[in-house]
Amino acid sequence: MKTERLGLLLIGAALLVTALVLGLWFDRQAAVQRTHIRNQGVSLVRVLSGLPYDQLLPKPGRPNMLQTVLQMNRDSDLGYGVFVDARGATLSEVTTAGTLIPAAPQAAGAAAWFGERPLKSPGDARAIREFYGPVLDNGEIAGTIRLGYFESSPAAIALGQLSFAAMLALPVFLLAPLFHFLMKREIRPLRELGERLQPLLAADQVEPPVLGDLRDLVARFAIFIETTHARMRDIEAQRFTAQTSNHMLTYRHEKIESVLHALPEALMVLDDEGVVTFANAKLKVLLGVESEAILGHAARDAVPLPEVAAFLAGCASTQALRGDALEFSPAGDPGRSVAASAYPLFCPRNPGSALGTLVVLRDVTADSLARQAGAEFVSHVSHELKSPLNVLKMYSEMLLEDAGETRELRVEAVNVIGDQVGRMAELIDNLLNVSRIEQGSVNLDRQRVRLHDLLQDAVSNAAAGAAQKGIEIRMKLPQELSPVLLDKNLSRIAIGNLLGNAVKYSRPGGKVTLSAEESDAQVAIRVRDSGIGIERDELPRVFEKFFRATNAGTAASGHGLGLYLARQIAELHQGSLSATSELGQGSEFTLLLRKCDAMAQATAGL
Amino acid sequence: MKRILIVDDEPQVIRVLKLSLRPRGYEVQSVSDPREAMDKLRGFAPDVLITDIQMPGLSGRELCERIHAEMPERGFLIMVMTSMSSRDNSEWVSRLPNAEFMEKPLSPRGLAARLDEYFAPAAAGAIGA
Repeated sequence: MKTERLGLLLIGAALLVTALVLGLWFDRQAAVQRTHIRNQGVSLVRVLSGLPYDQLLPKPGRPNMLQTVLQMNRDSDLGYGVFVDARGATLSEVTTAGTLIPAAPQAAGAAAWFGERPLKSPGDARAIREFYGPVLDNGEIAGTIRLGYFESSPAAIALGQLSFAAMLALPVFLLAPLFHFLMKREIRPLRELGERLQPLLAADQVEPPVLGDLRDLVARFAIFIETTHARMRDIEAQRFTAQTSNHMLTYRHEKIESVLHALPEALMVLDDEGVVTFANAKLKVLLGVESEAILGHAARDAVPLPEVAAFLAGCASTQALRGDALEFSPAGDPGRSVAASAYPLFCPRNPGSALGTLVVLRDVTADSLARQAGAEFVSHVSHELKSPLNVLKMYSEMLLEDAGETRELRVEAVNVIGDQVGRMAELIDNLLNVSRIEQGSVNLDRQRVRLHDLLQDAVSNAAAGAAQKGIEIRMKLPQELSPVLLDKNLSRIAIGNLLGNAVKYSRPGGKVTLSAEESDAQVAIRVRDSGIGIERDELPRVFEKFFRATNAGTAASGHGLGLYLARQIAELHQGSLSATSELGQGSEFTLLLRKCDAMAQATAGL
Repeated sequence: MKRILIVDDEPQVIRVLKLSLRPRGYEVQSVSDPREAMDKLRGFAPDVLITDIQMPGLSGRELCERIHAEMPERGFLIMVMTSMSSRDNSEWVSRLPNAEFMEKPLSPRGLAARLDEYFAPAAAGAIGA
């Protein structure tokens, strides 16, 4: 519809332009003709007026002047020429064919001089422009010469120029449809563009104004540009936001990953087909597999240990029972225990959708060693307590029996019972001390102790047991010994244990020597025996808890806590306890303690 | 005279058992180092072996396994005494043929009664023969 209207508009405009051009053209033509007539008429009237009166009068045998003039101007619009006398009587006249001379009043006075006037042709009322001028005879106005020219009306001019107008209008009319067609063709892509813009704008819910075709298009295009601009700004803003959040995500991702890699546990994430999608670096330590090597592979194929591979395969197929666990030793490291646990992973926003399985591998060597140590401890303690109980029960039963009748046996029984009770009490004391030291609940009550007194006490305490076995305890102490800062009770236990062991593992009649010597910073206390000695490969282990040398049992009843406790006490005092031994010859234990001065310096230095 | 071998690292236990069993007519010998037990078993050829479990050098269980391996046709009874009344011990002892488990603290009277009972049918048979 709009296109048709445009066509009509084009045609109308062409017509209007044509009419305007023609109108102007005709008007100009009329003006040109009027000027032409005036020039001709005025000059002709002047020429005729200048002629002598006689020459204008018609005479036989002489050509009529007016006739000549008319013939000379045949092609012009000259209609008639009249020569009248002063009274208005016609003296001579000539006309073109079919022309009637209009009557006109005789001009007089000034008006009789040169002039022009419009008249009407009496026959067909055609417009006539008449030019007139005086004819003088002897200085007097003798008559008037009148020349009448036909004035063409605009319509007549138009009529006369019809063919020209037609010639002009024809190409205009021919060109108008061509223009229209060309314009249509040129506008089509624009219209298509407009139509394409429509849905784009509709998507943005922008209602374009309904205007004319081109204005419509331009308006749509403007809106489109604006919308596109706005959209580009949006996209730019979104891109910036996305970039920022992408940076944030990368940062968080890296943070989480570094946390996961820093965990002491080895982690693996399996998807629902058992393929490893994440593994941290600890996997190498606990499973012997590089995390890079296992990523993207089915866990059951990538893990070298068959039991672990089977466990991982099970995790994937059964969607991992919560906390399902396996304990194994890594390949080539049988002393180590690793626990593998599997946990199902669920999407936090949608708990119903499974994300795979988390497999956690933990080094439980320390746990299992601690468990084992705990079990061994209970076993040792119960053994150490039940052994003297056993002896007590047997001797007490013997006392009730016939064998108890002899005095000799009764004395023996009572002695053994006393020994065993002492042994149990010693064990319990040692256990309590070990427990206190291990728990760190021992507060050292350091006092300035005279070593002579401390060592003398220890020897006195051990003397009874030594005497029973016929063992001599010798003391080799220097005259002067610097005082040391010690917890009296604990150091008495340590030295008592060393002396007790020396007596216990000496053969009857053997010798035990307690000596002390002083250097610049410390005091060394030595306990030497001539006992059974300790095997070379067992020597480093004698300070372990509950360790008993292979040859110890045949000689005496220990419980494997004495030396352990003595070393703990030495270390509590920042001292040390060491041993040398020769199997079958005896052992020597050396307790090194810092002197007061050294202790003060060390403390001051802190 | 029935012969009894005692293997224990506690000298007092050996002492009491000897005091308790000898008056009842048993010939009692002892080893305080379990590593000497195998030689003693072959030399002494006891009718009953009484052994402790927790001993330094060689445990009672290791000793029993060695006996089982080296003397599959042994005719003597093994009596295992231990302070550890755990199920582990009672299980391996019960799997051994001709072996019994005795829990500490041990009653010498109870042990003597058990030995008398063990030897009674054989003695009756001997009298009958």
